[in-house]
Amino acid sequence: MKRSTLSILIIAIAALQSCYKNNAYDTANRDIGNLFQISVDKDSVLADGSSLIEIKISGLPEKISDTDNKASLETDNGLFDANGTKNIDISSSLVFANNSYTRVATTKLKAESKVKVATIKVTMKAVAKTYIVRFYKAPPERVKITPSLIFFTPSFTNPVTFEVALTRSFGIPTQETSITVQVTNLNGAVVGTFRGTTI
Amino acid sequence: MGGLRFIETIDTFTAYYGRNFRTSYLFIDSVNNVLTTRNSSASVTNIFNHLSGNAYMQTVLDNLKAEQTRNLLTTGPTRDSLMQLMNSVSNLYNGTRSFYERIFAGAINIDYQLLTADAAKLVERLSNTNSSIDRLSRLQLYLSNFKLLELNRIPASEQTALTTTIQFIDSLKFLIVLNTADITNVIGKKAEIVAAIKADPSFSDVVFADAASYVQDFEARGQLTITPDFGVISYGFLPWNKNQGFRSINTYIGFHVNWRPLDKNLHFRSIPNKCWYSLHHWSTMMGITLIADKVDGKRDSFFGKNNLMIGIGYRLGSFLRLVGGTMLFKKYDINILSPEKKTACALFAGISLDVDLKKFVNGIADAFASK
Repeated sequence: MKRSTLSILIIAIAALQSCYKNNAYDTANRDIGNLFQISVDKDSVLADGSSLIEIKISGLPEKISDTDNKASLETDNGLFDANGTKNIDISSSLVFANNSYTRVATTKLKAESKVKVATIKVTMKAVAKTYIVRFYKAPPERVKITPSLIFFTPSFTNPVTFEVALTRSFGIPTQETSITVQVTNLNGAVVGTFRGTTI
Repeated sequence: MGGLRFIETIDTFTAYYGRNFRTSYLFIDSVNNVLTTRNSSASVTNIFNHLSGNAYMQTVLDNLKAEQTRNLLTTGPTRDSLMQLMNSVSNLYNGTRSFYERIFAGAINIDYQLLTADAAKLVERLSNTNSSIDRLSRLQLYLSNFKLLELNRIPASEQTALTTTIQFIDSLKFLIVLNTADITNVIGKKAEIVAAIKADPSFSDVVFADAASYVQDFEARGQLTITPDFGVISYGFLPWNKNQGFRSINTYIGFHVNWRPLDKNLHFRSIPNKCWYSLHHWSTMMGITLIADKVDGKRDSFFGKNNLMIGIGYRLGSFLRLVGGTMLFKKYDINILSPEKKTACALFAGISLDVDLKKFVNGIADAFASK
């Protein structure tokens, strides 16, 4: 091939491949919203103070610098299981799945024992995204009433104390769960008067 | 040259002819055909079958070994000559068909020396064939003397074999002699044609394209072909181009490979018979930018602080050129989390001035040293 023909060919190919688009780097065109994705294994869990929600950050590039490989998570309710606080920094790692590597970062959020909505905020490279999860009421599975006396005579001076314990096999019942305690006779009529309640 | 009929390309020439440099191909008539005919499969096979692995060749070899040991043959060759003969006989006895073909063509000689794989290297081929003829002549002489002096010691059953062997060695030598004559003829015709090209007034300043035939040395050819330059370029200037927005001006140093050799001592206008599109104007360029043009998160230099440029130049005069092409640099991944950089390119255009080669080389050294 002649020198001239070869030169024209190479330069023409290179020119046609003019692949640099300057405005593609403008913030508006970078599709920042898709920089990463947040997903959870469960959108809502029992407010039992023990249930966990796994939070996964995906959609990250396969190669990422050490400096940028940091996701800062913050929640207004619940605590991150790894450090027991409302803030945590995690880094991503490569995971092999479906014959390819993907980069993900995961952590777990522990539910509070109150019915709450938690907003999780994830920040990477100054780009923040949020995700909302819910802690719903965890009812008691067992109620145990323990009177201070088994046999007693009516008296205004010697009240009987009833201790009512609500428990669950995993975690605890949600706080502020209301219970009604009544004392009735054999005919079903309410008897006695409750003087005070402590929780 | 018009009276010659050409068949085989023996050499290639590039000659300055009128407005253009033209490449002329040197062919040699019929010589190659004759060689091909003589080295036909049948003749090669015939000789090969009778000499290679021939039992009598083994007998000759054994006799030579015995003689070398006894050194009794006072009227025969010396000890060194015996060694040479043994080598020739051994090679003929053990030679493959390819070995015989290459002996005919002069690609090697019988002693496997002066190897040349290039059919166009006529002088080497001639040297090989002459050397083979010399060896075969000595072998013939030895066998003839052997036959005369030792006939009474040769069993009758082997006398025919000896005679046949001598005949085939004679045939082998004869064909190589003919080939030698052909090669000599080719060399002569080549010289004749070269002389004709040089004598033709329409050719001037002949530059031969093959390594053995250049009129000018490497340095002179380099000066005619490669021209360093310094220039100013702009890129991202086309409103419809993707690179729009990447608009900037930069400087560069580089060099041009002229599509036609150019003597810069001559005024460009004085080169005859050229027009605006003649190849004298055009060149392939390569260079590096001198000003770093990097933006964090967007683009980076191709290497260090320099970008690479490839393009085409168009000479306007003795010193001035227009240049255009593509500039190579690195672009960041669009994903701000990714540290990856890929090669990207942008169209550029500019203007340049030829510079002195020595300053050019120093300039490159300085550009890299100041990184």
